[in-house]
Amino acid sequence: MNSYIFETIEHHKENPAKIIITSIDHSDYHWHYDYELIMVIKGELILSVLAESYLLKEGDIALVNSKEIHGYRCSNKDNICLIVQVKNEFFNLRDDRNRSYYFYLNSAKEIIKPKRSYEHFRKLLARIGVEYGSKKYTSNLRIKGLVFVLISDLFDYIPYDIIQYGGDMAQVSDSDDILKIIQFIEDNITSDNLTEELCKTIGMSEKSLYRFLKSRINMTLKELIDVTRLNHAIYLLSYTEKDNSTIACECGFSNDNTFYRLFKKRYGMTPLAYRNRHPKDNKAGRINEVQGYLDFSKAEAISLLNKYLEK
Amino acid sequence: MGAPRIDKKYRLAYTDKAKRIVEQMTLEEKVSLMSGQVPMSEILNDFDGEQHYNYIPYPAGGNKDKGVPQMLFCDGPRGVVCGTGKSTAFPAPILRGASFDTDLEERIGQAIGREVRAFGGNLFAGICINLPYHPGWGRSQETYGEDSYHLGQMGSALVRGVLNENVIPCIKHFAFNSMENSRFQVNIVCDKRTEREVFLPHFKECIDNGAAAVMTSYNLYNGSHCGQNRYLIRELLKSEWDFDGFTMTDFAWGITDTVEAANSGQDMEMCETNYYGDKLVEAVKKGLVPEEYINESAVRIVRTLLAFTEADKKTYPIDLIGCREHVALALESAQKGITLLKNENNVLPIDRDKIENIVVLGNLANQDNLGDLGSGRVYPPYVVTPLQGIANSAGNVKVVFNDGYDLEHAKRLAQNADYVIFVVGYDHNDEGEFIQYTQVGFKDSVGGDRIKSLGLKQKDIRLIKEVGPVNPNSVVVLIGGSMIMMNEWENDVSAILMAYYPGMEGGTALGQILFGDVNPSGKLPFVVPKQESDLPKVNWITDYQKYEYYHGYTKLDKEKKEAAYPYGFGLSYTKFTIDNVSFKKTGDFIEAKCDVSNTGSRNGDEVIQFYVGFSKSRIPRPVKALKGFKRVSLKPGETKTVTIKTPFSQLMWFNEKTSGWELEHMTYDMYLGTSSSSKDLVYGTLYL
Repeated sequence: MNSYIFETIEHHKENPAKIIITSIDHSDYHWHYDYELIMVIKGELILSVLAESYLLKEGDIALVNSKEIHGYRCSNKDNICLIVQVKNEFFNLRDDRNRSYYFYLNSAKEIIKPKRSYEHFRKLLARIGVEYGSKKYTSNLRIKGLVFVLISDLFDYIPYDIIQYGGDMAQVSDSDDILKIIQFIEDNITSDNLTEELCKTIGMSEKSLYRFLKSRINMTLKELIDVTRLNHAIYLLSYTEKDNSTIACECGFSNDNTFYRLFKKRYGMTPLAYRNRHPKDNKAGRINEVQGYLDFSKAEAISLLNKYLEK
Repeated sequence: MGAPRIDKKYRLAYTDKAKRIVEQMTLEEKVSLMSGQVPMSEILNDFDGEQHYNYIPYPAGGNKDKGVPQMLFCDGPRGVVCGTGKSTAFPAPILRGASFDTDLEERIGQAIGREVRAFGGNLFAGICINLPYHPGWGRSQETYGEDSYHLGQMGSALVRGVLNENVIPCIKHFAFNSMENSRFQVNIVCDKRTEREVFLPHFKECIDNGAAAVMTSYNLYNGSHCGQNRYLIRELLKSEWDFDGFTMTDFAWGITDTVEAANSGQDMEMCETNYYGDKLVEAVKKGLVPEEYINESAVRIVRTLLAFTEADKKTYPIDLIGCREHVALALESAQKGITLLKNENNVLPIDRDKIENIVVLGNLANQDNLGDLGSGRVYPPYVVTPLQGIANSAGNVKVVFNDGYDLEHAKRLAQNADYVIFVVGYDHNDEGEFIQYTQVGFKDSVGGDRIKSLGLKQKDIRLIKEVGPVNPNSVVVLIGGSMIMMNEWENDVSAILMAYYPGMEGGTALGQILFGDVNPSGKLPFVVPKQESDLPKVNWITDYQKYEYYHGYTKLDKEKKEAAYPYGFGLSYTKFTIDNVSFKKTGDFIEAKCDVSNTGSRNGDEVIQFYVGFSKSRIPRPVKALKGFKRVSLKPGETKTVTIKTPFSQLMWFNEKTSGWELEHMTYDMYLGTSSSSKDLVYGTLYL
């Protein structure tokens, strides 16, 4: 898993989901804790989950599970997509259970038949998208409500496996701990003795922290810190003009050489080469939110979504 | 134990003091000692509200001015019903029965006693010793198993444990309460020998071990409700057995008539004052009930309460409830009760270092499932589900769960897994206390007897039959409160574990057993027949039922039917051999003796069982009946001598003509071994 980008999705604190209406060119393989639902509103999109690729056509919906490594690229048709990224902490039926859920939802390749039609989920997603586009003063509240309906409908109507981890029942939810760890690393990325401070904050010895992370996300603390730093570096390379040394420093790398070496090892190219390959208007191969320059297509997207509601 | 146990002798010493108090009371005051103070309507409301049935100990009687404490009732038997998120939830008694471990059951009783005290209660009403005449009885889970001797030993152990903390042990439901759906109206009849030899000895045993309260049952016996059955209460329990404590009715519907109940010797109406109270005062004044009966009841109640509440001044801190030590006991119990029934090619235990992934199928794996949701529901701080327990023991093995709803998907998962574990059986919807719409605001009836089938649900059978053969490393874990028929699917899997309702730490124990950290040692406390028709016939929805002399393994034995899994049967990961078996008389006892050796490679426990046979009897008697047992722990290569002593009185029969117990002088068949199957027993004879 180490060779993939770990994407920390930023959410507003109270919102269970981040909604994106976008046209996707491509997005490198990456993974995140959030569950990602994607619906193709127009055109086509190729979804790759590890070795498997699926051509999602207009109206197709798919769910990318938490921590599932995936990527997107467009086919030769343009696309508009609705993406709903739901925080994994909301996929939590029971506070004391240390587990993740693996849903089988992909209308382009059905593995298990859902207990309700894809149409049901299409409509629900469309409603979320329309609310998102409407910018009414109640829409934020309504989106929250709809996302909670979506989560419960997934549990009730979409077949899923549970991946159950071991753990001491007396402990509070592990996923909270993991989020806490990630948050702490992000907040203190430049700290010199990050490991020590982290252990102190969450009250674990370095040894038990190592075991905890290894068993829960199969990463060492060092790997997790490096990934977080590199992730931040990618952001700075893509969105700023800062030079390598500044970026290395702001990301908490001890020196330029370490930054250079780790970056190359992970992405197979130097930071500079990365910056050159990903010019500013195609930011780091990340999903680009349709903003400003494609305003008309946002309107188009909303009107297409409204059609799903009328069906 | 430094302090003396509050046994009968100790309690009788309070007779004079109790009499003096009662003598100073008015009739109204005496009668007010004789009923509960919690309206049933309130209890029913509690089922819907934030609190629940028996959230706090339910009070009855008491008189502050005269120095008589209230009786403070705490239900069970899985633990103490009071509070939410606090109590230790032990395995259901049926699992505890499977441990055949009276020492452990006594320790459980003591832990329960401590929790009762910490909740502020003084009586534990969770000692259920009804004999499941038929395993379809929905509340079989609340009792220890089908055999009267075993029931008496296990129940007595719980009684002693509760007594150790100076809590009043209340046994129930007296008597013949072995049907659920019809419990309010069914009239049970049986012949005298069946009554005395099959359905009542375990009650007598528990009383002889110090039980100080008896709850009567809802059903009728020989035409009279057990709560107002003069024969059962006044003649048998109080006179013939010389019981010193007090009786109480089952809640709200236990009696139907003031005069009949009071004259029968019923001491206390629970949980509210309905037929007693003013009505009883009036009946006495009219001369329908002698005041001397009221005095007698009052003395029994006062004597018992004084003896227990004055025994110590200890305070029991609230954090005793659900404490680490008690939870560890719940785990130990589950470890010792879960029963391995089949283990073809030694697929168990699972070697976690040699495999990568396990798939767990069936919704029950992912469910907090402590048993029914009736009056015995306990509210622990957490429950380790089978799934969680398996994952906890799995180390680096990936554990994937699916409900098994989609058979093709389940097959795919099973094909790609190193092991497939099915967790199937029952929950509160399928069996347990029967709660009807008319009683409580539930939409549908839940629980009750297993009227339709004693097997698994069709969807579970289909799942096992379709998916089991896909992977040779297949294990079925059965969840349920009694015997479950397995013949439809048992050949489709390699291993079968009976987990009963294993309590709050049940998942942990299950994981440990599956991965071999704990060696299974439970033994079936019931027989599994080859076909349901080998069992007694019972009409579950009825107002009349006759109980016959034979049931369970004694019936199969008598009819020469082989069991699918015999009573007392359970496998281990190690091997045991039995040598040097001997039977002899010492005083008024039979001494059965043998050497047990662990010839395998793991630590293990074996339960040595002693059965007595009556083939030379001139009267109809069982082929054999359990008369002793002992659990023994052995390291690999270790040998221990096990001695089981059984008093001659255990071999007596009840002569209806003389109304007395008689010992036949003849040659008895002696069997010592590891299950009730003749294959597992060493035979001998002894002349008495």
